[in-house]
Amino acid sequence: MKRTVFILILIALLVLLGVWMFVLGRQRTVVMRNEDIDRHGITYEAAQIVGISFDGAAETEITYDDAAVFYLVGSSHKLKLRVADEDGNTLRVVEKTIKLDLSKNITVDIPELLENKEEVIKLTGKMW
Amino acid sequence: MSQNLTFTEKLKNFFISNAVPILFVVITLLAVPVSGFSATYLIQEMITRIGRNSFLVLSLLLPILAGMGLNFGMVLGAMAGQIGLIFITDWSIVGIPGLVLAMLISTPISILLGILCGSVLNRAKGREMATSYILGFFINGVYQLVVLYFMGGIIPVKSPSLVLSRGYGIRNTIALDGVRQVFDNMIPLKIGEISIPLGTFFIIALLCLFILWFRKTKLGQDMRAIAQDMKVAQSAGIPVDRTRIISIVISTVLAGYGQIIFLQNMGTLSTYNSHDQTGVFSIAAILIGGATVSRATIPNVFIGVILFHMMFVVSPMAGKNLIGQAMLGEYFRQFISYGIIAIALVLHAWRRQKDKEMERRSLRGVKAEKQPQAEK
Repeated sequence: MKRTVFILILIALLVLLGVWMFVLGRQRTVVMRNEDIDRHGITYEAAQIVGISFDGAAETEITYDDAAVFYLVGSSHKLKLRVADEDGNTLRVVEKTIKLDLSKNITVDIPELLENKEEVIKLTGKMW
Repeated sequence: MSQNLTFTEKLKNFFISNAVPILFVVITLLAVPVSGFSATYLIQEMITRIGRNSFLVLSLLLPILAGMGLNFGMVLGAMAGQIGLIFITDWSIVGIPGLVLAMLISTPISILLGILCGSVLNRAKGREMATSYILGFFINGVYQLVVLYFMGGIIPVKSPSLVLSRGYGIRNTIALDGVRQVFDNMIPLKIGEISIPLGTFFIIALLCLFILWFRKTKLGQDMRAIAQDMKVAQSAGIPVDRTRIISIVISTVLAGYGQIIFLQNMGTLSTYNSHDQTGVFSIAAILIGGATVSRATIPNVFIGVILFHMMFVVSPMAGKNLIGQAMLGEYFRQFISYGIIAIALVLHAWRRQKDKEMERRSLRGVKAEKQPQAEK
Protein backbone atom coordinates (compact mmCIF):
# COMPACT_ATOMS: atom_id res chain seq x y z
CA MET A 1 0.00 0.00 0.00
CA LYS A 2 2.77 2.40 1.02
CA ARG A 3 4.66 1.51 -2.15
CA THR A 4 1.63 2.10 -4.38
CA VAL A 5 1.03 5.51 -2.81
CA PHE A 6 4.69 6.42 -3.33
CA ILE A 7 4.52 5.40 -7.01
CA LEU A 8 1.29 7.35 -7.54
CA ILE A 9 2.79 10.48 -5.93
CA LEU A 10 5.91 10.09 -8.09
CA ILE A 11 3.83 9.76 -11.26
CA ALA A 12 1.76 12.82 -10.28
CA LEU A 13 4.95 14.84 -9.66
CA LEU A 14 6.39 13.78 -13.02
CA VAL A 15 3.17 14.74 -14.81
CA LEU A 16 3.25 18.13 -13.07
CA LEU A 17 6.89 18.56 -14.08
CA GLY A 18 5.88 17.74 -17.65
CA VAL A 19 3.10 20.34 -17.61
CA TRP A 20 5.49 22.91 -16.15
CA MET A 21 8.07 22.18 -18.86
CA PHE A 22 5.33 22.50 -21.50
CA VAL A 23 4.31 25.94 -20.23
CA LEU A 24 7.90 27.07 -19.72
CA GLY A 25 9.28 25.94 -23.07
CA ARG A 26 6.34 26.59 -25.40
CA GLN A 27 7.46 28.58 -28.42
CA ARG A 28 4.85 30.84 -30.01
CA THR A 29 4.96 31.95 -33.61
CA VAL A 30 3.79 35.54 -33.54
CA VAL A 31 2.89 37.18 -36.85
CA MET A 32 2.87 40.98 -36.64
CA ARG A 33 0.75 42.39 -39.47
CA ASN A 34 0.85 46.02 -40.54
CA GLU A 35 -2.19 46.42 -42.77
CA ASP A 36 -5.49 48.34 -42.69
CA ILE A 37 -8.19 46.39 -40.89
CA ASP A 38 -11.88 46.73 -40.17
CA ARG A 39 -12.91 45.57 -36.71
CA HIS A 40 -16.51 45.95 -35.51
CA GLY A 41 -17.13 48.71 -38.02
CA ILE A 42 -14.03 50.68 -37.05
CA THR A 43 -11.19 51.04 -39.55
CA TYR A 44 -7.64 51.00 -38.20
CA GLU A 45 -5.12 52.43 -40.65
CA ALA A 46 -1.64 51.01 -40.91
CA ALA A 47 1.47 53.16 -40.54
CA GLN A 48 3.96 53.59 -43.36
CA ILE A 49 6.83 52.10 -41.36
CA VAL A 50 6.77 50.24 -38.04
CA GLY A 51 9.85 49.11 -36.11
CA ILE A 52 9.16 46.11 -33.88
CA SER A 53 11.34 44.96 -31.01
CA PHE A 54 10.65 42.27 -28.41
CA ASP A 55 12.45 42.20 -25.05
CA GLY A 56 15.13 44.67 -26.12
CA ALA A 57 16.26 42.65 -29.12
CA ALA A 58 17.27 44.24 -32.42
CA GLU A 59 14.47 46.08 -34.20
CA THR A 60 12.74 44.61 -37.24
CA GLU A 61 11.29 47.19 -39.60
CA ILE A 62 8.22 46.53 -41.71
CA THR A 63 6.47 48.77 -44.20
CA TYR A 64 2.80 49.33 -45.01
CA ASP A 65 0.88 46.13 -45.88
CA ASP A 66 3.77 43.98 -44.70
CA ALA A 67 4.22 41.43 -41.88
CA ALA A 68 7.02 39.97 -39.77
CA VAL A 69 7.29 36.67 -37.91
CA PHE A 70 8.71 36.38 -34.39
CA TYR A 71 9.38 33.25 -32.35
CA LEU A 72 8.81 33.89 -28.65
CA VAL A 73 9.33 31.56 -25.70
CA GLY A 74 7.53 32.28 -22.45
CA SER A 75 4.28 34.13 -21.79
CA SER A 76 5.23 37.70 -20.88
CA HIS A 77 7.17 39.98 -23.25
CA LYS A 78 8.01 43.64 -23.56
CA LEU A 79 7.05 44.97 -26.97
CA LYS A 80 8.37 48.21 -28.40
CA LEU A 81 6.73 49.66 -31.52
CA ARG A 82 8.26 52.58 -33.34
CA VAL A 83 5.92 54.24 -35.83
CA ALA A 84 7.55 56.22 -38.61
CA ASP A 85 6.46 58.10 -41.75
CA GLU A 86 7.54 57.12 -45.26
CA ASP A 87 10.79 59.11 -44.90
CA GLY A 88 11.68 57.14 -41.80
CA ASN A 89 11.05 59.96 -39.31
CA THR A 90 9.85 58.60 -35.99
CA LEU A 91 6.32 59.76 -35.19
CA ARG A 92 5.83 57.95 -31.91
CA VAL A 93 7.11 55.08 -29.81
CA VAL A 94 4.73 52.76 -27.98
CA GLU A 95 5.83 50.29 -25.34
CA LYS A 96 3.53 47.59 -24.02
CA THR A 97 3.72 44.36 -22.11
CA ILE A 98 2.04 41.51 -23.91
CA LYS A 99 0.86 38.29 -22.29
CA LEU A 100 0.63 35.28 -24.57
CA ASP A 101 -1.51 32.25 -23.81
CA LEU A 102 -0.37 28.73 -24.76
CA SER A 103 -1.40 29.18 -28.41
CA LYS A 104 1.15 28.03 -30.93
CA ASN A 105 0.29 30.58 -33.61
CA ILE A 106 -0.71 34.14 -32.77
CA THR A 107 -1.51 36.87 -35.27
CA VAL A 108 -1.35 40.49 -34.15
CA ASP A 109 -2.70 43.45 -36.10
CA ILE A 110 -0.36 46.32 -35.31
CA PRO A 111 -2.82 49.18 -36.12
CA GLU A 112 -5.30 47.76 -33.62
CA LEU A 113 -2.56 47.18 -31.06
CA LEU A 114 -1.38 50.80 -31.39
CA GLU A 115 -4.86 52.11 -30.68
CA ASN A 116 -5.25 49.93 -27.59
CA LYS A 117 -4.75 52.09 -24.51
CA GLU A 118 -4.05 49.27 -22.08
CA GLU A 119 -0.53 48.75 -20.79
CA VAL A 120 -0.79 44.97 -20.64
CA ILE A 121 -2.46 43.22 -23.53
CA LYS A 122 -3.45 39.57 -23.52
CA LEU A 123 -3.08 37.86 -26.89
CA THR A 124 -4.60 34.58 -27.96
CA GLY A 125 -4.34 32.58 -31.14
CA LYS A 126 -4.55 29.05 -32.43
CA MET A 127 -3.55 26.26 -30.08
CA TRP A 128 -2.07 23.99 -32.79
CA MET B 1 47.93 -17.97 -8.52
CA SER B 2 48.97 -14.99 -10.64
CA GLN B 3 51.93 -14.54 -8.27
CA ASN B 4 53.48 -17.71 -9.74
CA LEU B 5 53.41 -16.33 -13.30
CA THR B 6 56.65 -15.32 -14.96
CA PHE B 7 57.18 -11.82 -16.40
CA THR B 8 56.66 -13.12 -19.96
CA GLU B 9 53.39 -14.76 -18.97
CA LYS B 10 52.24 -11.60 -17.21
CA LEU B 11 53.11 -9.55 -20.30
CA LYS B 12 51.31 -12.04 -22.50
CA ASN B 13 48.25 -11.90 -20.25
CA PHE B 14 48.33 -8.10 -20.35
CA PHE B 15 48.37 -8.09 -24.16
CA ILE B 16 45.61 -10.72 -24.31
CA SER B 17 43.48 -8.78 -21.82
CA ASN B 18 43.98 -5.46 -23.58
CA ALA B 19 44.33 -6.64 -27.16
CA VAL B 20 41.47 -4.54 -28.52
CA PRO B 21 42.45 -1.16 -27.01
CA ILE B 22 46.11 -1.77 -27.90
CA LEU B 23 45.17 -2.58 -31.50
CA PHE B 24 43.11 0.60 -31.70
CA VAL B 25 45.83 2.74 -30.19
CA VAL B 26 48.29 1.40 -32.77
CA ILE B 27 45.93 1.95 -35.72
CA THR B 28 45.04 5.43 -34.48
CA LEU B 29 48.70 6.37 -34.01
CA LEU B 30 49.34 5.30 -37.60
CA ALA B 31 46.25 6.97 -39.05
CA VAL B 32 46.49 10.36 -37.29
CA PRO B 33 49.65 11.61 -39.09
CA VAL B 34 48.38 10.29 -42.43
CA SER B 35 45.06 12.13 -42.00
CA GLY B 36 46.84 15.48 -41.69
CA PHE B 37 44.36 16.86 -39.14
CA SER B 38 45.59 19.43 -36.65
CA ALA B 39 45.74 18.61 -32.94
CA THR B 40 43.19 21.37 -32.16
CA TYR B 41 40.69 19.91 -34.62
CA LEU B 42 41.09 16.40 -33.24
CA ILE B 43 40.77 17.54 -29.61
CA GLN B 44 37.62 19.52 -30.47
CA GLU B 45 36.14 16.53 -32.28
CA MET B 46 36.91 14.17 -29.40
CA ILE B 47 35.43 16.52 -26.80
CA THR B 48 32.26 16.90 -28.88
CA ARG B 49 31.95 13.15 -29.43
CA ILE B 50 32.56 12.30 -25.76
CA GLY B 51 29.66 14.59 -24.90
CA ARG B 52 27.52 13.16 -27.67
CA ASN B 53 28.05 9.43 -27.10
CA SER B 54 29.19 8.74 -23.53
CA PHE B 55 25.70 8.73 -22.00
CA LEU B 56 24.55 6.08 -24.49
CA VAL B 57 27.58 3.89 -23.83
CA LEU B 58 27.24 4.30 -20.05
CA SER B 59 23.70 2.92 -20.29
CA LEU B 60 25.26 -0.46 -21.15
CA LEU B 61 26.98 -0.86 -17.78
CA LEU B 62 24.10 -2.07 -15.61
CA PRO B 63 23.07 -5.10 -17.70
CA ILE B 64 26.75 -6.15 -17.75
CA LEU B 65 26.78 -5.78 -13.96
CA ALA B 66 23.76 -8.10 -13.81
CA GLY B 67 25.50 -10.68 -16.02
CA MET B 68 23.20 -10.08 -18.99
CA GLY B 69 26.00 -9.17 -21.38
CA LEU B 70 25.88 -6.32 -23.86
CA ASN B 71 22.38 -4.92 -24.14
CA PHE B 72 21.67 -4.71 -27.86
CA GLY B 73 18.11 -3.92 -26.74
CA MET B 74 19.22 -0.38 -25.94
CA VAL B 75 17.81 0.61 -29.35
CA LEU B 76 14.39 0.23 -27.72
CA GLY B 77 15.22 3.12 -25.42
CA ALA B 78 16.66 5.06 -28.34
CA MET B 79 13.33 4.74 -30.16
CA ALA B 80 11.48 5.93 -27.04
CA GLY B 81 13.78 8.95 -26.89
CA GLN B 82 13.04 9.74 -30.51
CA ILE B 83 9.29 9.56 -29.91
CA GLY B 84 9.76 12.12 -27.13
CA LEU B 85 11.65 14.38 -29.52
CA ILE B 86 8.94 14.06 -32.21
CA PHE B 87 6.28 15.18 -29.73
CA ILE B 88 8.19 18.17 -28.39
CA THR B 89 8.94 19.28 -31.94
CA ASP B 90 5.25 19.07 -32.79
CA TRP B 91 4.29 20.99 -29.67
CA SER B 92 7.06 23.58 -30.25
CA ILE B 93 8.64 23.13 -26.85
CA VAL B 94 12.16 24.48 -27.07
CA GLY B 95 15.30 24.79 -24.96
CA ILE B 96 16.03 22.84 -21.80
CA PRO B 97 12.29 22.47 -20.96
CA GLY B 98 11.89 20.80 -24.36
CA LEU B 99 14.62 18.25 -23.69
CA VAL B 100 13.37 17.57 -20.15
CA LEU B 101 9.85 17.05 -21.51
CA ALA B 102 11.20 14.71 -24.23
CA MET B 103 12.91 12.71 -21.47
CA LEU B 104 9.70 12.63 -19.43
CA ILE B 105 7.74 11.38 -22.46
CA SER B 106 10.37 8.75 -23.26
CA THR B 107 10.50 7.42 -19.68
CA PRO B 108 7.20 5.48 -19.52
CA ILE B 109 7.73 4.16 -23.07
CA SER B 110 11.25 3.04 -22.13
CA ILE B 111 9.99 1.41 -18.92
CA LEU B 112 7.34 -0.58 -20.82
CA LEU B 113 9.80 -1.61 -23.52
CA GLY B 114 12.39 -2.46 -20.86
CA ILE B 115 9.93 -4.70 -19.02
CA LEU B 116 9.08 -6.41 -22.32
CA CYS B 117 12.76 -6.83 -23.18
CA GLY B 118 13.69 -8.07 -19.68
CA SER B 119 10.82 -10.58 -19.67
CA VAL B 120 11.87 -11.97 -23.05
CA LEU B 121 15.53 -12.14 -21.96
CA ASN B 122 14.52 -14.05 -18.82
CA ARG B 123 13.12 -16.71 -21.14
CA ALA B 124 16.39 -16.79 -23.07
CA LYS B 125 18.98 -16.97 -20.30
CA GLY B 126 22.49 -17.44 -21.65
CA ARG B 127 21.53 -16.10 -25.08
CA GLU B 128 20.69 -12.54 -24.04
CA MET B 129 22.81 -10.70 -26.62
CA ALA B 130 21.44 -12.46 -29.71
CA THR B 131 17.91 -12.29 -28.30
CA SER B 132 18.09 -8.58 -27.52
CA TYR B 133 19.57 -7.92 -30.98
CA ILE B 134 16.64 -9.63 -32.69
CA LEU B 135 14.18 -7.99 -30.28
CA GLY B 136 15.58 -4.65 -31.46
CA PHE B 137 14.54 -5.54 -35.03
CA PHE B 138 11.07 -6.56 -33.87
CA ILE B 139 10.46 -3.36 -31.90
CA ASN B 140 11.89 -1.39 -34.83
CA GLY B 141 9.02 -2.78 -36.90
CA VAL B 142 6.51 -1.70 -34.25
CA TYR B 143 8.18 1.74 -34.07
CA GLN B 144 7.92 2.14 -37.84
CA LEU B 145 4.26 1.13 -37.75
CA VAL B 146 3.55 3.72 -35.06
CA VAL B 147 5.59 6.53 -36.62
CA LEU B 148 4.73 5.84 -40.25
CA TYR B 149 1.00 5.07 -39.91
CA PHE B 150 -0.35 6.02 -36.48
CA MET B 151 1.29 9.41 -36.00
CA GLY B 152 -0.71 12.15 -37.69
CA GLY B 153 -3.68 9.79 -37.80
CA ILE B 154 -4.57 7.98 -34.58
CA ILE B 155 -1.89 9.81 -32.61
CA PRO B 156 -2.33 13.57 -33.03
CA VAL B 157 0.70 15.17 -34.67
CA LYS B 158 -0.32 18.31 -36.54
CA SER B 159 2.79 20.26 -37.50
CA PRO B 160 3.07 20.38 -41.33
CA SER B 161 6.85 20.30 -41.00
CA LEU B 162 6.56 16.86 -39.36
CA VAL B 163 3.66 15.12 -41.07
CA LEU B 164 3.97 13.72 -44.57
CA SER B 165 1.93 15.42 -47.29
CA ARG B 166 -0.50 12.46 -47.39
CA GLY B 167 -1.75 13.51 -43.92
CA TYR B 168 -0.27 10.82 -41.70
CA GLY B 169 3.19 9.47 -40.98
CA ILE B 170 6.28 11.41 -39.96
CA ARG B 171 8.77 12.82 -42.42
CA ASN B 172 12.15 11.14 -42.88
CA THR B 173 14.16 13.99 -41.37
CA ILE B 174 13.21 16.35 -38.58
CA ALA B 175 15.17 19.50 -37.80
CA LEU B 176 15.56 19.86 -34.05
CA ASP B 177 16.15 23.61 -34.26
CA GLY B 178 14.51 24.39 -30.94
CA VAL B 179 16.69 22.04 -28.92
CA ARG B 180 19.90 22.01 -30.98
CA GLN B 181 22.93 21.80 -28.67
CA VAL B 182 20.91 23.14 -25.76
CA PHE B 183 22.61 20.94 -23.16
CA ASP B 184 26.03 21.54 -24.77
CA ASN B 185 25.64 25.30 -24.52
CA MET B 186 23.95 25.26 -21.10
CA ILE B 187 27.25 26.22 -19.42
CA PRO B 188 29.34 27.88 -22.14
CA LEU B 189 33.09 27.37 -21.84
CA LYS B 190 35.73 28.03 -24.43
CA ILE B 191 39.42 27.41 -23.92
CA GLY B 192 41.36 28.96 -26.81
CA GLU B 193 39.67 27.67 -29.97
CA ILE B 194 38.16 24.67 -28.22
CA SER B 195 34.59 24.87 -26.96
CA ILE B 196 33.65 22.44 -24.21
CA PRO B 197 30.08 21.18 -23.77
CA LEU B 198 30.24 21.55 -20.01
CA GLY B 199 26.50 21.15 -19.53
CA THR B 200 26.50 17.72 -21.19
CA PHE B 201 29.65 16.72 -19.29
CA PHE B 202 27.90 17.66 -16.06
CA ILE B 203 24.96 15.38 -16.93
CA ILE B 204 27.37 12.56 -17.83
CA ALA B 205 29.23 13.07 -14.54
CA LEU B 206 25.91 12.79 -12.67
CA LEU B 207 25.22 9.47 -14.42
CA CYS B 208 28.71 8.20 -13.51
CA LEU B 209 28.05 9.10 -9.86
CA PHE B 210 24.68 7.35 -10.07
CA ILE B 211 26.32 4.19 -11.41
CA LEU B 212 29.01 4.25 -8.71
CA TRP B 213 26.34 4.73 -6.03
CA PHE B 214 24.05 2.12 -7.56
CA ARG B 215 26.75 -0.56 -7.46
CA LYS B 216 26.92 -0.17 -3.68
CA THR B 217 23.17 -0.42 -3.12
CA LYS B 218 21.37 -3.65 -2.20
CA LEU B 219 20.02 -3.88 -5.75
CA GLY B 220 23.49 -3.36 -7.21
CA GLN B 221 24.95 -6.07 -4.97
CA ASP B 222 22.09 -8.38 -5.98
CA MET B 223 22.95 -7.79 -9.63
CA ARG B 224 26.59 -8.66 -8.98
CA ALA B 225 25.55 -11.84 -7.15
CA ILE B 226 23.31 -12.81 -10.07
CA ALA B 227 26.16 -12.19 -12.49
CA GLN B 228 28.41 -14.52 -10.47
CA ASP B 229 25.97 -17.40 -10.21
CA MET B 230 22.26 -17.21 -10.90
CA LYS B 231 21.38 -20.44 -9.07
CA VAL B 232 23.31 -19.48 -5.93
CA ALA B 233 21.70 -16.04 -6.00
CA GLN B 234 18.25 -17.63 -6.34
CA SER B 235 19.01 -19.94 -3.40
CA ALA B 236 20.11 -16.91 -1.36
CA GLY B 237 16.66 -15.40 -1.84
CA ILE B 238 17.49 -12.85 -4.50
CA PRO B 239 14.60 -12.40 -6.97
CA VAL B 240 16.72 -13.16 -10.03
CA ASP B 241 14.18 -12.55 -12.80
CA ARG B 242 12.88 -9.33 -11.24
CA THR B 243 16.41 -7.97 -10.70
CA ARG B 244 17.38 -8.78 -14.29
CA ILE B 245 14.27 -6.97 -15.57
CA ILE B 246 15.12 -3.92 -13.41
CA SER B 247 18.65 -3.79 -14.86
CA ILE B 248 17.26 -3.84 -18.41
CA VAL B 249 14.60 -1.25 -17.57
CA ILE B 250 17.22 1.14 -16.14
CA SER B 251 19.46 0.54 -19.16
CA THR B 252 16.59 1.18 -21.59
CA VAL B 253 15.52 4.38 -19.82
CA LEU B 254 19.11 5.64 -19.79
CA ALA B 255 19.49 4.73 -23.47
CA GLY B 256 16.42 6.87 -24.19
CA TYR B 257 18.00 9.82 -22.39
CA GLY B 258 21.30 9.08 -24.14
CA GLN B 259 19.63 9.19 -27.55
CA ILE B 260 18.05 12.55 -26.70
CA ILE B 261 21.47 13.92 -25.67
CA PHE B 262 22.98 12.45 -28.86
CA LEU B 263 20.34 14.00 -31.13
CA GLN B 264 20.33 17.42 -29.45
CA ASN B 265 24.02 17.57 -30.30
CA MET B 266 23.42 16.48 -33.91
CA GLY B 267 20.48 18.86 -34.32
CA THR B 268 18.71 16.57 -36.78
CA LEU B 269 16.59 13.49 -36.23
CA SER B 270 16.54 10.89 -38.94
CA THR B 271 13.18 9.37 -37.96
CA TYR B 272 13.71 5.89 -39.38
CA ASN B 273 17.49 5.53 -39.11
CA SER B 274 18.91 7.44 -36.14
CA HIS B 275 18.42 4.54 -33.73
CA ASP B 276 19.59 1.84 -36.16
CA GLN B 277 23.28 1.87 -35.35
CA THR B 278 23.00 3.15 -31.77
CA GLY B 279 23.38 -0.29 -30.20
CA VAL B 280 26.15 -1.55 -32.48
CA PHE B 281 28.24 1.61 -32.21
CA SER B 282 27.85 1.91 -28.44
CA ILE B 283 28.72 -1.74 -27.94
CA ALA B 284 31.69 -1.47 -30.30
CA ALA B 285 32.90 1.57 -28.35
CA ILE B 286 32.68 -0.14 -24.96
CA LEU B 287 34.44 -3.26 -26.31
CA ILE B 288 37.19 -1.13 -27.82
CA GLY B 289 37.58 0.49 -24.42
CA GLY B 290 38.62 -2.88 -23.01
CA ALA B 291 35.29 -4.08 -21.62
CA THR B 292 34.09 -7.62 -21.97
CA VAL B 293 30.67 -9.22 -21.97
CA SER B 294 31.03 -9.89 -18.25
CA ARG B 295 33.08 -6.93 -17.03
CA ALA B 296 32.87 -3.23 -17.82
CA THR B 297 33.87 -0.11 -15.96
CA ILE B 298 33.37 3.62 -16.39
CA PRO B 299 36.96 4.14 -17.70
CA ASN B 300 36.23 1.49 -20.38
CA VAL B 301 33.42 3.74 -21.62
CA PHE B 302 35.53 6.85 -22.01
CA ILE B 303 38.59 5.08 -23.44
CA GLY B 304 36.31 3.30 -25.90
CA VAL B 305 34.49 6.44 -27.00
CA ILE B 306 37.78 8.27 -27.57
CA LEU B 307 39.44 5.45 -29.51
CA PHE B 308 36.40 4.50 -31.57
CA HIS B 309 35.55 8.04 -32.56
CA MET B 310 39.15 8.97 -33.20
CA MET B 311 39.07 6.22 -35.82
CA PHE B 312 35.81 7.59 -37.17
CA VAL B 313 37.30 11.05 -37.59
CA VAL B 314 40.72 10.18 -39.00
CA SER B 315 40.01 7.14 -41.15
CA PRO B 316 38.19 8.88 -44.08
CA MET B 317 40.90 11.49 -44.48
CA ALA B 318 43.66 8.94 -43.93
CA GLY B 319 42.05 6.75 -46.60
CA LYS B 320 41.70 9.67 -48.95
CA ASN B 321 45.33 10.70 -48.49
CA LEU B 322 46.53 7.13 -48.94
CA ILE B 323 44.39 6.24 -51.95
CA GLY B 324 43.88 9.70 -53.40
CA GLN B 325 40.11 9.69 -53.92
CA ALA B 326 37.49 11.21 -51.62
CA MET B 327 34.89 8.48 -52.30
CA LEU B 328 37.38 5.75 -51.50
CA GLY B 329 38.16 7.56 -48.27
CA GLU B 330 34.52 7.11 -47.25
CA TYR B 331 34.68 3.40 -48.10
CA PHE B 332 37.91 3.18 -46.16
CA ARG B 333 36.11 4.64 -43.16
CA GLN B 334 33.32 2.08 -43.42
CA PHE B 335 35.83 -0.71 -43.90
CA ILE B 336 37.92 0.34 -40.92
CA SER B 337 34.94 0.97 -38.63
CA TYR B 338 33.00 -2.22 -39.29
CA GLY B 339 36.17 -4.28 -39.69
CA ILE B 340 37.38 -3.14 -36.30
CA ILE B 341 34.02 -3.97 -34.70
CA ALA B 342 34.33 -7.48 -36.12
CA ILE B 343 37.91 -7.73 -34.86
CA ALA B 344 36.83 -6.50 -31.42
CA LEU B 345 34.15 -9.16 -31.22
CA VAL B 346 36.42 -11.91 -32.58
CA LEU B 347 39.19 -10.94 -30.15
CA HIS B 348 36.65 -10.95 -27.35
CA ALA B 349 35.56 -14.49 -28.23
CA TRP B 350 39.20 -15.57 -28.55
CA ARG B 351 40.03 -14.04 -25.17
CA ARG B 352 37.15 -15.86 -23.54
CA GLN B 353 38.40 -19.11 -25.01
CA LYS B 354 41.92 -18.37 -23.74
CA ASP B 355 40.56 -17.57 -20.27
CA LYS B 356 38.71 -20.88 -20.22
CA GLU B 357 41.86 -22.74 -21.29
CA MET B 358 43.88 -21.00 -18.58
CA GLU B 359 41.21 -21.84 -16.03
CA ARG B 360 41.27 -25.53 -17.04
CA ARG B 361 45.07 -25.57 -16.97
CA SER B 362 45.15 -23.99 -13.51
CA LEU B 363 42.64 -26.54 -12.22
CA ARG B 364 44.84 -29.35 -13.53
CA GLY B 365 47.79 -27.67 -11.77
CA VAL B 366 45.92 -27.55 -8.46
CA LYS B 367 44.97 -31.20 -8.84
CA ALA B 368 48.59 -32.19 -9.59
CA GLU B 369 49.81 -30.26 -6.53
CA LYS B 370 47.17 -31.83 -4.32
CA GLN B 371 47.93 -35.43 -5.25
CA PRO B 372 51.44 -35.65 -3.72
CA GLN B 373 50.10 -34.03 -0.52
CA ALA B 374 47.41 -36.67 -0.31
CA GLU B 375 50.02 -39.41 -0.65
CA LYS B 376 51.95 -37.98 2.29
